[in-house]
Amino acid sequence: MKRMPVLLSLVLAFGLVAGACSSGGDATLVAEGKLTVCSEVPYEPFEMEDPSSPSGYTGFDIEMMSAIADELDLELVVVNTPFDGIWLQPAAGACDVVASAMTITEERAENARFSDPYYNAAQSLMTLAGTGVTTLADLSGRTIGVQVGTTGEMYANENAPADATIKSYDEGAALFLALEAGEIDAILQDLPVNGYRASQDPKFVLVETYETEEQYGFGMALDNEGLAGEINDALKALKDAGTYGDLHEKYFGTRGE
Amino acid sequence: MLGPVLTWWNGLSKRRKVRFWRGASYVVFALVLVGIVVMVDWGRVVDTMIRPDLVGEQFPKIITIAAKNTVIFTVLGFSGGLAIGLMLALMRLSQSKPFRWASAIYIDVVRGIPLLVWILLIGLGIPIALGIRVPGAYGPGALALSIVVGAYMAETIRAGIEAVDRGQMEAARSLGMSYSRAMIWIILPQAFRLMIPPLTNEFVLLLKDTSLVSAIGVTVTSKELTRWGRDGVIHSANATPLVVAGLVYLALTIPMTRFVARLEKKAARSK
Repeated sequence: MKRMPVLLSLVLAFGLVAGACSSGGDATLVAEGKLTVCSEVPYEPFEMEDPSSPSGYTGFDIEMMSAIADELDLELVVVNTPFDGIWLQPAAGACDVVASAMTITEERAENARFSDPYYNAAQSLMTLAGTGVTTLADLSGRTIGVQVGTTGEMYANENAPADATIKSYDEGAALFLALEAGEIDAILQDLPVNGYRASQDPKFVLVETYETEEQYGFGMALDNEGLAGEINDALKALKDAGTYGDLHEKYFGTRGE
Repeated sequence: MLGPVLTWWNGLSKRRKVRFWRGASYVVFALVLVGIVVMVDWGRVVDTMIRPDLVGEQFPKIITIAAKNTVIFTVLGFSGGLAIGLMLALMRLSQSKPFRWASAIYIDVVRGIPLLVWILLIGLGIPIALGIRVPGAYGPGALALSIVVGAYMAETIRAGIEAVDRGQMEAARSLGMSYSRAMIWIILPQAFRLMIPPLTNEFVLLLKDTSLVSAIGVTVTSKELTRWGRDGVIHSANATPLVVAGLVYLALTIPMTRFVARLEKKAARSK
């Protein structure tokens, strides 16, 4: 019986330490003085590598995050993270915010807090030049490539011909390779990404666009209301100051909304 | 403060010191166990890692689709690997120098590059470069697994063949059998009996390595266990599907590893 108090106090001490780690209601950051951003790179033109930039990355999302970090007086840190389930990362403590061309969906909003929308997107179909595919219906009996966990995958599952095979890939970058390799006959994914690729490389042709009225948002942990508020304020300030319009024009040719 | 403790310790006999350490190890073990039981919030663990309704949702498809595909990839990869490995082993043991060199180069090159790189090369790299595609939903993944497993198996098979007593070959040849006939009918059957434990281990390793084939794309019907679990985690924001996938892997691997352990014990006893 003499040992019992030692054991008990040990257990209690551990319990107290564990209990002290819970957080309050203000904006919380995973690293002091830094805005840590999860993003899947490359996903041009939203995220790409850029050794000359201080974070090592650039693209519309990254430049927006960099401007927001400046507004909040924080240093930008980018963590390259697979897109599959990326919206769960802030809750898991891997980063503060997800900026990865991510559409706001009800399913994702169950487990992540979204900022105000910052980009209007749509879905699109891209093939190799000369394949004769012009619509989704033409892909009957053929293979459509999508990225795991994306709205493009959802759109394909709902709208592709019943006898088309839908093949999903871990990375967006692998889709272009699979199309060139003939593993898939078309890519169904976000319009700006397919569009950018088609504009860079004449091998690829954008054949159809689907107005899904989806919007991108930055994702945060559900309980991080404080940070969501600060990011929305910064987003509004950047729109008012014209910084948002400048970046939108740089990447997409229009000033956006 | 240390003084009295030291005098007490030095006064103990060797046997009592041993007993003290054994007792101490039990106390530490019990403390860790009690600590885990008390400190872990079991309600939370169940809710986030093994939620009953989500466990139920996984069945039966985790078996009829995911586990089935894992087993198909494993069996295809293993059969192909066995054929390649046997060929390489025989080339390695042959009298012809070019055969021996070719086999040694293959084994070194293939084993020196990670499996994931082979899978990406065969699934994406070679089709782009040469326009050659491996057909079928399982084709590219199974071929990559075969190529790599074959290189590892070659060494196992060679060791098995070399472990058969030299006298067996000499006796067979002296009875008028040709080299290849003696190899096929006398040496290989005995070698394979010796190779069952290491080959079963290869099988278990391969079964787990099939988790890499999803890197070259999967369809709803070609998902294997790991991809299944990962997709489940994303859709439910809960670790349960991955935990269940892990348990299904265990259900497949544990009988095999136990089987090998029994064989090895039997072999050790018969020596």
